[in-house]
Amino acid sequence: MAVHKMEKATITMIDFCCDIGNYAFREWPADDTAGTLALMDRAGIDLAVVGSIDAITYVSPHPANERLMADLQANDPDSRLIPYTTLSPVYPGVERDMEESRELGFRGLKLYPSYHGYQIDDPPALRLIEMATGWGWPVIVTVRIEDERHHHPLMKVKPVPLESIMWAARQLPEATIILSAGNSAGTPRFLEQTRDLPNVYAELSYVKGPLRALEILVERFGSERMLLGTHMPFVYPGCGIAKIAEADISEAAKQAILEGNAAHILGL
Amino acid sequence: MLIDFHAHVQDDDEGTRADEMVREARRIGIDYIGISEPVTHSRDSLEIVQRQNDLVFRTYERHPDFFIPLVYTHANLGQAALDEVHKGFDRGARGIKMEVATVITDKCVEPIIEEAIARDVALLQHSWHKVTGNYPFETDGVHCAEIGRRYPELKLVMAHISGDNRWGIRAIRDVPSVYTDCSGSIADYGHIEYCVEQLGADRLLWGTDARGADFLYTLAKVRDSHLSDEAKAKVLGLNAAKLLKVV
Repeated sequence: MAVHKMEKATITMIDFCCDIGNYAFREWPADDTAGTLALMDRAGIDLAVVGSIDAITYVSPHPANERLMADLQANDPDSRLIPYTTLSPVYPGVERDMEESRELGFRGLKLYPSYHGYQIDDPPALRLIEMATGWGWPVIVTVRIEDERHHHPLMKVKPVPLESIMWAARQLPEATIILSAGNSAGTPRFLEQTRDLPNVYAELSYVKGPLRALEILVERFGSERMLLGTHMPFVYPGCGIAKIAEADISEAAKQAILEGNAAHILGL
Repeated sequence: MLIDFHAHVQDDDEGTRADEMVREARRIGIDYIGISEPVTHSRDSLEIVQRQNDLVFRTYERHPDFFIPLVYTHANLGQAALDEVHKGFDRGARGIKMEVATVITDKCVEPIIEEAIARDVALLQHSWHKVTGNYPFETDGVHCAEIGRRYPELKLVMAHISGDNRWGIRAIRDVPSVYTDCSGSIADYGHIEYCVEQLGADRLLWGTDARGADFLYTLAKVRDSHLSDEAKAKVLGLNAAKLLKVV
């Protein structure tokens, strides 16, 4: 039985929601670069934008970025993994961490406001997004890591309010901002209310319904601002792929969502 | 054979949603869908239960070769709950569905359980374990395990692997009579393999929880798993065919 039905030869795939490392609360099938590449090969994913899982729950995230980069440099000879640095805008020294991340070879920024305890529309976060934008870096804002109903009982983390991300995007229209892990209700709302912001995208890893989910999204918003996201290694990558690759939408729309839009953001 | 054991059509008066679901399911290759129309807001009147069942049977009658109806009931309605079950089987039901009106361990559920045993049909019980707190009468996996021990002859299906799948699997793994379905939005990497490893391939059923969930998303979690082809065939349809008596 095929993992998924899409003809691999016709469209390549770029995953905009993938992380590498140890998660504090559950075990997952891949916690390093080699394991992630194996999962990508099995799923037919060519490239993935990756951040550090450890950095999500570290109080001071940057050491986890450094460790991720060392792993990538040692084990990703074909540069299939595009590293984004995970930082907290409110932690002392974050500007220097940004500079060091750039020198190390990171190419974008991942933010987890709920896990690092700040608001994305507060000045420190806006300043960091501005800094990233000045370098041409895209910024991923992650709404959630896991379904809120299944968190560790002592660490119940609320999702990031979409309004705060939309507000931040409006303050910085030059910034390329990617909504990550917005759910089936939130993602359409986000796309609706950012229609006039062409640099604002949504990766679709947490869009799990309703029936004909992708057909409905493409009918409403076109395919220009949506990106493949699998949420590896937390989720079976085939789920994120199948709903796009096997949806009843045009081949052009599939190509845009699975690869083209991501390639544009990444300057490939 | 591909059977979605757990879905909801939520049809309109014109049958538009039923027709749309059939079209999409056939495009993907789904052979049958087990449907019910529960109310998910705790305790409602008999009239609402009857309205929901009327909806499911009209959907079934519109596509009788495709949909397999399960009759929905609120056990706390007493004899009326049982009467609703009888009426459902008169209209073609092949299973019973319960949602969040009553925890399955409540004494008032016993006549419904006994009816399911007498008819040798599956009882599909919504189940979830939430760290954020369950609804007041929402069944958890541990409740399903308790009922499975009390009624080993009952064909009980714990829906959604109880949400937090590791919790759900562990709750029922030592209760061999309890099945589970993997319907819903949760697609944690490895949980399908873990479920089959702990329960065996005969106790897991594929389901979608459509319309809320997308067929393709929910199908891929089994299709993309590392199960053997034989185990996948059981999970994706053969187990449901036995429970729903699909020839």
